[in-house]
Amino acid sequence: MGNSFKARLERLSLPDLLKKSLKIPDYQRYYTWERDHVLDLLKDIFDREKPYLMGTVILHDVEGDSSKMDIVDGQQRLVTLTLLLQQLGLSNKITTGLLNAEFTASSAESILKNHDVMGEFLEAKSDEEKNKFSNRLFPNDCDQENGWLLFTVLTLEGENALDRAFTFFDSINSKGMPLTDFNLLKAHHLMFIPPKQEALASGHNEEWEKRNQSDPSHADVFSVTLRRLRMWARREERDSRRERPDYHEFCSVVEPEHGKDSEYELNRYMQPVAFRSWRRVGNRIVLSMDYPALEGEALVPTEITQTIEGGDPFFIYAKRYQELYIKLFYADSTRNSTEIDFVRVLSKNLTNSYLQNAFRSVMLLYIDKFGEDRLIESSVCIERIISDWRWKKKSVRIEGTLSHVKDKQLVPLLLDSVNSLHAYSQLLGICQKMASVPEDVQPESGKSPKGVKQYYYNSIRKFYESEQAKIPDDRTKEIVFSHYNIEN
Amino acid sequence: MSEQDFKNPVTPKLIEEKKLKFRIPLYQRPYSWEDKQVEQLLCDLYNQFKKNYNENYYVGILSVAKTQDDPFRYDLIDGQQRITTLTLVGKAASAFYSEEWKAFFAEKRLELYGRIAEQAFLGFDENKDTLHLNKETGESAKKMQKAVEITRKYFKEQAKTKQEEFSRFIYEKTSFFISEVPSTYTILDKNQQFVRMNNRGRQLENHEILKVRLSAKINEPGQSKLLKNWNNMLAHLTGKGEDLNRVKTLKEILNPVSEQTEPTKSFSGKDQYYMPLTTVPEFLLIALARFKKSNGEEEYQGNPFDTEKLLEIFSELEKSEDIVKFADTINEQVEILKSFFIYIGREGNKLEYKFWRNNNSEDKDTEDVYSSKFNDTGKNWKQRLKAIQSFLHVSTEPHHWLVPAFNWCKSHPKNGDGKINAEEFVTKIEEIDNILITNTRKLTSLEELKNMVYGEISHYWFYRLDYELWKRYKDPGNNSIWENLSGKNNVKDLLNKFCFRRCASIEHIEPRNPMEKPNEIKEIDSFGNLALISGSRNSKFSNNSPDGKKQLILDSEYSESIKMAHFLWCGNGTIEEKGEAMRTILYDTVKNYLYQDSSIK
Repeated sequence: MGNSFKARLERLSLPDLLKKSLKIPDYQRYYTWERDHVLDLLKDIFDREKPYLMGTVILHDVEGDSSKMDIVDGQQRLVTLTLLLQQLGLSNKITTGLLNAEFTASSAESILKNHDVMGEFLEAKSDEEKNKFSNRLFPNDCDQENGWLLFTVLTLEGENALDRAFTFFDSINSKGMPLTDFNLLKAHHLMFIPPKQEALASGHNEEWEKRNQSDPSHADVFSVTLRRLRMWARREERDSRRERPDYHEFCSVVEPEHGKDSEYELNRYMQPVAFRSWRRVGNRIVLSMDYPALEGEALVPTEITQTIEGGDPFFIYAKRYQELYIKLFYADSTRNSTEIDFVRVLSKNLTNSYLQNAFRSVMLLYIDKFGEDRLIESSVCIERIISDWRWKKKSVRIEGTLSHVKDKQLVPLLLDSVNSLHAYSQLLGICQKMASVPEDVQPESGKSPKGVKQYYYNSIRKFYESEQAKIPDDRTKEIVFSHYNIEN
Repeated sequence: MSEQDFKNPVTPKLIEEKKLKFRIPLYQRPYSWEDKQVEQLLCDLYNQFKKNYNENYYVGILSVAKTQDDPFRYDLIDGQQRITTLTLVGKAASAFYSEEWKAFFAEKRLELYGRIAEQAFLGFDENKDTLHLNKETGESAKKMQKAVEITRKYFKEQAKTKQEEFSRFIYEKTSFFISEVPSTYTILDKNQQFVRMNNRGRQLENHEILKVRLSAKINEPGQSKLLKNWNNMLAHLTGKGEDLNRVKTLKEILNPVSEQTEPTKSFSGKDQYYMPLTTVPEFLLIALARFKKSNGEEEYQGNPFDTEKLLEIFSELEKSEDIVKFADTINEQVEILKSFFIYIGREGNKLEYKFWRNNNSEDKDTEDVYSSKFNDTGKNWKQRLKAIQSFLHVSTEPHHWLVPAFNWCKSHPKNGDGKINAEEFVTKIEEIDNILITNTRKLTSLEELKNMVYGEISHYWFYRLDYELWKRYKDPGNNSIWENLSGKNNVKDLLNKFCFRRCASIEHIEPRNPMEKPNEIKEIDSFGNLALISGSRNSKFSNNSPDGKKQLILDSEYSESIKMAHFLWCGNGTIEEKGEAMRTILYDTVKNYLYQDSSIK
């Protein structure tokens, strides 16, 4: 062979990369990206002004024809971008290579689908936006130094180039366990903590890891409870994204500003705030107001549905709601008030896990906003509204449960209420208008329940039978008595 | 320092000369390299050293971002595990060629931000070995320690005559490329870069990485053969069999001239494929186990069929001539699978098992394909073959029965026309299944069959019983168990259409009262009253009476359990008596086998 091995790394812009005569080698013939992958890429770059580095591409020279380059890593991205150029009417800019690359039938399907996904995405954009975008991708003056979409390109040539290319490919692609949404969230929010505050970052990191392994886990509190509450607050019933919903829900929407002391927004539902903002001074948290400053993490107000700010505020948010969730539904009863105990035991008696989680989520919001004010009577109404789904369905599924809670507008109702009286009277109104429980759901008197509906009914009925004295308002009591066929 | 400086790779020597330092941000995961990975790296380094100590050894690419407060320090966005390993290797190697390494370690080359305990370890303070470590940092600090020990051992045992030279080679020739993110990147940009690096597009599967790893170990023409056979295997196992022959360019795909791009026609003409009995990792591990056996090699020490450990198990396939030979095993096994085993078509609740259709066979009746592979000695054998294969597919881990079945197919056909005898094949598979009863399912005494009550019964027996009931239904000479069936055409219809399905839920046919505690009523929980069905159907049946369940089954037009159908429509007597009839069938089929083999007690 004689030509010795050479490896070189360069930074190339998209036009420069596409100038090369690129080929897709036989062993790489599948194109498998799906809709979300394409949309992620488009969203990353469409509105971006600053240069964007789109990872590493590995090329090696084709044996016997050094003018051509095989793509070892980067096929999916480059094919996707080629489709994008085609959609933007820029395919004439790709003079060689990729357009003549060959694909199998199943790849062809994905290519056509993704081509349409891009078409849809671009259709929603104005001509001006599209022109701007095209100009960034392929600047007219084609100034190399001003490349905007950038690649780190590793080129391998000569003896054993392919073997080495594989080694690089391996090192880039084998990363062990895939990251979970919660790994990514931690990474995301730790970025917001300035490097100088190493102890703070370290503390949040450890706390997060500890909580990630506890019961209830992050998944219970974030996926099952907080994210759903935020969805219902937006009057949505399911995620628009299939991939990594928790990560996207709890990402920060604001850029961090290091250097100066950060001040964070206060969140306290719609109640008037006495404090203007809060910040950390050393290890202390200080709230500023027009009166003397107050201190303490416990005083920092949060909202389940608040805008997520990166770093410190997020870790406080996460800790706050995990602790509240544990206190309400996991802690032993001796430390809680009668009111909270009532809610916890009631929730245990909802014998369907989807409905139980829905009930617990809504109660978490209620207690976060109104504390223990009118807690028992409101929780009864919320139970009545959520359980209604049990009678309507042969089998209760997650999708149905999510739409039921959305359709009943329970979360917007709580969010819009100024105080607990306001919330309770609306909840009561809904319950008073509800149809009574169908007969077939109620076990025949003196007989054991038959079937899941009767079992569910019976479990809650037994609870109210023994706990009815704790319900303070007669109007709620009346609903319970009539719905659950309890003698006064 | 400008980005231009990183066109060429850096080595520990260059890192020291340029005074570079690296920092691992807290959002990166803790150090996690296993012993084997470290050994592999040392082995690769040493091989390169022996081959040509003037040439660089490339470890990978580091993705970095400049830090604000120190122009010589970079935050690692990608590649942190590798550079940590190299630093640990360097720590052990510094016993030799030590002046240079000392200069390297004079500075804090690698900083573990926010991980104080691990930093102390990396900081090479020998007195801090007994640091207080929590669970997370404890794990990773232990792994760091291990990497150093492994390297020390390697120097002692492998590189013993050339310790100084090898240490120098590592210092001067271990190379990284460094890619710096644009200087305009904000913190959010870097964060996004980290996320994208770990999560851009679809994640590669382990078998995709394995393909590349094995290819890298062999030369042409073996490499092309491996890649070709591998791709061929993928096409079949992912249900895209016709794919490789229908190739189009991007241009043609986007501007179809005449012919439309059509997905492979399949089950009920929809965009859906027939799937084989194994996944790609299962298939590969079966092939490897068979290959090793025929090669006279020892089995992998742990479970050789653990698909989670695919890469680790395959790390024992190292010699290039073995890898090339293994490429043949892959092809041979694909041919066997294609010729003699069923494929699964699924659409909603519909399920169908078929033998493979060859390329371009869309118009051909699948009968042609079957009869080109099997000598039929009776027309029921094709159905029997489908039944026993699908029964084992749903009840048994694939390698348990496929390893012996593949081996058998390889040694048959014997008569030169490439066909095997379906009856012999069915008999063989039944035998394989029976051997599994004692070897794998650990049934040693028939007494155990008597204790089959709710909560203590292996799902296997339900599948096996359904297979036996189905056989009797099809066998006019032995179908007395089905004598109550005459005139019940709707039930016959259910049985004719029966397909084995994977189920996970034990149904009480006569409903159990939800308020009763388990085991209070013996009869309800006894074998006679139980059936294996899917969770969704179990919840649909709810606590319906047997008559209600009959109606639900007829409405859905398929039964998930033959046993349940028999109970509902054909069984005689009490629950206890029905159970006894079923138990007798199992007892009779299994007992011969158990007592034949005297070695089993």
